[in-house]
Amino acid sequence: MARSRIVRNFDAMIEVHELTKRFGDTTAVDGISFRLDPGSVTGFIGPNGAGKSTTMRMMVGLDRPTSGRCLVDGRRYADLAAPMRSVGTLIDAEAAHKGRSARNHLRVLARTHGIPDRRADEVLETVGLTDVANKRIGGFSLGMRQRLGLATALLGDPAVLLLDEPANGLDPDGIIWIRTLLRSLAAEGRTVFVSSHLMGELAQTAHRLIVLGRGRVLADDAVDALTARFGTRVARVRPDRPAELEEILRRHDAAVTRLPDGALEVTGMDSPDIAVLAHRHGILLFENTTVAASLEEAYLALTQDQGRHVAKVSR
Amino acid sequence: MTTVDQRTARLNMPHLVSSEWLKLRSLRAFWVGVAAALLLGVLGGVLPTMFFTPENPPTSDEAPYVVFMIANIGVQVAILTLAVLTLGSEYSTGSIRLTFVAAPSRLRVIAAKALVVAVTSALLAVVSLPISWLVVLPRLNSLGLDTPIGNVFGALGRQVGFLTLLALFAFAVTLAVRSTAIAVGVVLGVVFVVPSLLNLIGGGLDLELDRLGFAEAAGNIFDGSSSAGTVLAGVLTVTVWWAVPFVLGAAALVRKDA
Repeated sequence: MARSRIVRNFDAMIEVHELTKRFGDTTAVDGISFRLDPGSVTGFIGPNGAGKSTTMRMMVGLDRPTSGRCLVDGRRYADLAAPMRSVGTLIDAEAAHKGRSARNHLRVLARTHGIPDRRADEVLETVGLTDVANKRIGGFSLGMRQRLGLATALLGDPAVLLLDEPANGLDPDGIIWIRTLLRSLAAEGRTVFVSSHLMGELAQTAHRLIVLGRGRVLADDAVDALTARFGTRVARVRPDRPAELEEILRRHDAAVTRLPDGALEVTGMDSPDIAVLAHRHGILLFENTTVAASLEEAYLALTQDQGRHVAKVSR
Repeated sequence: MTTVDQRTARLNMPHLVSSEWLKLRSLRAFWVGVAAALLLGVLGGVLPTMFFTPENPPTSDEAPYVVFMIANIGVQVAILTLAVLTLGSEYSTGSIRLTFVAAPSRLRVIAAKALVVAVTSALLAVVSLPISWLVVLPRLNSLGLDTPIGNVFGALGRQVGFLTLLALFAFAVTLAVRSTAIAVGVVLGVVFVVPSLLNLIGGGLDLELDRLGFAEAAGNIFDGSSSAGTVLAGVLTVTVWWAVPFVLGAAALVRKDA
C-alpha cells in the first residue's frame, strides 16, 4: 500500500520573555529574553550552573517560572493541543524506565498523542537503534540513551527541537552524526535549540549562539559576529632575533608569548604593524601571520568568572 | 517520510489511557504481579478449606464468603503493589518528567493512571478470585455443599469492590508520598495494622472506632447485609481516607517542579 507523504509547515516561533527562576535565595535564571526562529540551529551555551537546563525545563513546563513566560506560537506549552507535535524535547536521557524496551518506551509516549507504533520504529532507525529496539533500556550505554532521547524528541515529527546537551556520552562518530542531523533538521525548516557547556560541540553546528552566565544572557548573536566581537586576534611571527623583537613589542604595549620553536605569539598588535617595527629595527621575519580568532576564545572571554561551580587550581 | 498524521495526532484522554495501559503491561513487574495475584489468590482460597471437615462444614452462605475473604488477602498484596508501582516506578526512575513533557496537563495524566489502576485491579480480582473458587470447588462438593451461584457472585462482588477501592487508595498514597517503598508501607499499615489499633483504642474508650478503618469501611460498602446508614458511613469514611492523600498529592503535583 502506498503511503502519501504528509507535507508539513514547520514555521513555529518560540518566544522567551523575561523568564526568571529562583530557588530560595539563588536566582538560577534572571529575566532572560530571546526569540527562536525557524530554519536555524541556535546554540545555548554557558558554564555549568549557568541556568541552561532550568531555562529549558521551564520552556516545556517541567519547572514553574518565578516570573516571565515562554510561548510557542503565542501559546504556553501546557496549552498546546499536541505538545509532542509542536516541540520535541531531550531534557534528561536518564529519565526512562530501565525495565522497558526502547521500542515500548517510544510506543508509550507515541500513544499519548495517538501516533502509530510504526513511528517508533522510524525514529529508532533514524538514531541507529533498530538493532536494540527490543532490548531493555537498563542495558544501554550513555551514548545509546542519548540516541534514544533524540528518538523521543523526534517522535512527534515536531517543528521545534529543544535538546539539552544531546552530545553527552556520544563517541566521536556519534558527535559528527548529531551535528549533521541537527543541521539537516534545521534545513527542513525546523527550529533547533541545543544547549551545551562545550563550545567545541556547537562551533560547527550552530548558526546563532545565546551565551548564558549566572542566569543572564551575556550575548545573543550570529556565530561569526560573536567571534569578531569577542575573539582575540593573535599574530604569529618568527624573527631572526626573537629576544630583541620581544622587547621592542613589549615597549609598544603588545603581549608576547615566546614559543618553544623560537616563534612569538603577539596579541594587541596586528601583523602589518609588527612588520613595520621589525623592519625599522633591521629584524628579519621568516613568518608573520595572523591567526583568526576562535569561537572558543570568544566564549571564554564572555564567560570568564560566570561559572557557579569553579574549582580552585593550585599552580 | 513520517507516519505522524498531523490531523489526528492529538493529546486527549483516550490516548492517555491507552498510553498508561501500555506503560503498565510493558513492564515485567506487572506480569509478575499478575502471576502473584493468581497464585496468592489460589493459595488463600485453599487455606480455609483445609479446616472445613465433614463434622464441621460451612453453610452454603459462609463458604464463598470465607474462601473469597482469605483469597482476597493474597490478591490485595499483589494489587496494592501494582497500584503503587504504576506511579512510584515513574518517580523512582525519573520517567515521570518525560510523561509530563509529553502530557503537560498533570492532573489528566493522574486521572488516566487512576482509571487504568482501577480497571486493571477490578479485572485482576474478577479473574483471580473465581479461579481460587474453581480450585476449591471439588473440596466443597466433597463436603456435600451446594452453594447457590447467587451467593458466590454476591461474595465475589464484595471482594472485587473492596480490592478496587484499595488499589485507588494505594494509588492516592503514592501520589502523596512519591515513593514506592513508603507507599507500600503506609498502605499495608492502614489495611493490616490500623484496624487492630482502632479496635484496641475503641475498646478502651468504649467506642466503635474500628468502623473508621479503611478496610472495615470499604468492606461495609459492599456488604449486602449492611444498612443504608452503614453503607453511607462507609462511603464517607473511604472518601476521606482516599481524598486526604489524593488532594495533598495533587496539590503538590500542580504546584511543584517535576
